[in-house]
Amino acid sequence: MRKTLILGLGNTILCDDGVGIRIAQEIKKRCKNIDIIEASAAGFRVIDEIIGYEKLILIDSIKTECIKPGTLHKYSFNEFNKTKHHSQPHDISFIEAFEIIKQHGDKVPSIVEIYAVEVSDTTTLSEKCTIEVENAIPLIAKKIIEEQSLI
Amino acid sequence: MAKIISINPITRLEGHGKIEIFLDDAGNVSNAYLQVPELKGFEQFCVGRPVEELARITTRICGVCPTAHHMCSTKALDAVCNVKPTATALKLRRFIYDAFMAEDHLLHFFFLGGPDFVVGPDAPPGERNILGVIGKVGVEIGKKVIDMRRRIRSIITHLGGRVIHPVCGLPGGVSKGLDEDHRLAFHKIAKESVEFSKFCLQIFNDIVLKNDTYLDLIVGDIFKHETYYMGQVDANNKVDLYDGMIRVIDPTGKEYAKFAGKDYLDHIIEHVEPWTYMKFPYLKNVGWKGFEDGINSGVYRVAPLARLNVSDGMKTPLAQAEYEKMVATLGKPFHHTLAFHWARLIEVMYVCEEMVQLLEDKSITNPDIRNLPKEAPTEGVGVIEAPRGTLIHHYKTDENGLTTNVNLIVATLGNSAAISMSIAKAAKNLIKNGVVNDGLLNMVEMAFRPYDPCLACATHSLPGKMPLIVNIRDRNREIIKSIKRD
Repeated sequence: MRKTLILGLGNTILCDDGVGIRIAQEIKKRCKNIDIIEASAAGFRVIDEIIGYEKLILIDSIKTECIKPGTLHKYSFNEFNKTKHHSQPHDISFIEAFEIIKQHGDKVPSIVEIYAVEVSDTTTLSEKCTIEVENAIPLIAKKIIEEQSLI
Repeated sequence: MAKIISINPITRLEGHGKIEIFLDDAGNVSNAYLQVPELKGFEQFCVGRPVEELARITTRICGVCPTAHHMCSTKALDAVCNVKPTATALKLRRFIYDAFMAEDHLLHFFFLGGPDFVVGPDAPPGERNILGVIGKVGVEIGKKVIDMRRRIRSIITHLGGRVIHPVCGLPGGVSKGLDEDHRLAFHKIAKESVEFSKFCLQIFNDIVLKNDTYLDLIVGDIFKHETYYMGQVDANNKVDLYDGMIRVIDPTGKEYAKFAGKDYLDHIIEHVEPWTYMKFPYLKNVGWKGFEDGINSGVYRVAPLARLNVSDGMKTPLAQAEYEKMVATLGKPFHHTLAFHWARLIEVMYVCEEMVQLLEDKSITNPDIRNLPKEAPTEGVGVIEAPRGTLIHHYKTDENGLTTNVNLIVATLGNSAAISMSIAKAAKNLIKNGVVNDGLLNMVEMAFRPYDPCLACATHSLPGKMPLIVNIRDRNREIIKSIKRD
């Protein structure tokens, strides 16, 4: 079984929305042996990619508007397991897809760590994040590497 | 007092789309609209870039159908570079595209549309989800669905470079060929997918068509609109997702127009409304008469139901047999919005049969996978039938091949006016004299889900929920009642 997968979620042409992918890329630069997947998709469109890993580190953006952009949030898997409704019109939620393939008998990661970076602009077409988020990328990558003992 | 009812399906905090229902003074629905947080400036974002980058950038527009954008962009690049793909490349592109359509349509039927039909329109909200579908059809069948999609997706992973955002399309061809071992392996998958399609159609027949309540819903007036339809057909007017001519029929079923994709601006024009960034394409030569049905309104519909309507049938035998059954059951043209689900399954059968046909021809493993472009890029249009309708990419470049102009008509836009009309019609039946029926959310969802609308370019959401919130507002936009489901 492969060890750790970093799944960066977001859209790299939508400003801060791509921060999850940008951080995953930054981690990959420093930890060559880590597998990363970039996905501008969710639910059943990405779930097969996590099969066979022991640990999944999911990095995405979030907009709570309660804290300054560039701040890192950390969540547990169970915090999102509140509903079985669709998360969007085209797909089911990641958690729902996770539960379904687990029931299906697939070897899903036994450890799932979820990180989300507070963002401010997810609608402007730009390959760069806003300045606060852009500046936070290397720091957050370093923090996740240390916290998850990736080196 | 006039009221506004707002149904807001939130994914992230800023939401994915919102339905506004306007009531008149008597408390009845005067109109309803789907509002979308559309992203502005994509065309400008592309300007100045090497045109060949667009096949990779445009897949980022949408995490739902990146393969459709990639393939449409690749076709536009063929035209921009004035290069014809090799025969083998065309077969491979069509094969990859068939695999994509199969897995995308299956996802919709079982995971998204399925809860409405397989579980049932009156089922409790807590059961109207994929787990409810699996509960109804059985765990083993749920596993079968997951396995089949996974095997079909392995085709895209192998030939597309990666399944989520494929990178195989190049002007004049594709980047990777098919070897004999994979041809045989994929042929087995394709054959299995045909059997699986039979099984899906059987489920639809047993659970939906044999249920009088469901059938009444399909043929009933709530979910019916008499509009024009648009879709791509081959030389024999059979459904063709990858290539062909764009055909339009009027609400009586008569051919109204048939044109090459490059001439789309002669036929399609976009209407704008002050309350949304979303545009409403309509038939230029019929004219915009508002959100109206009928032969005098330029509103048209796209996607599976429309494709079957504009065609004279399907190219493959089993899909054709099912098409004939649909004609016998509903009559043609099909104006029944819920029949999108049936049409979608017929298309699944078609693409699976076509995959088998393509793989039975050993020439698909030929090494001639690309013709190199030899001319300076200029201008070109690519058209493809995306799962959600006719998709058009139009690029112009300068003499150095740098993009100077990009115009995209994305598939869901083709249905944008009709979606609002369908929501309004469903709401009119469930809101009378200011009294909002508890079934409003379900029925409104059922009204727009057949179109499988692609609402925004924000392509992911953190794991979470999609609550539906109905806010009833008075003339001053104060909320006087709120219905929430989470």
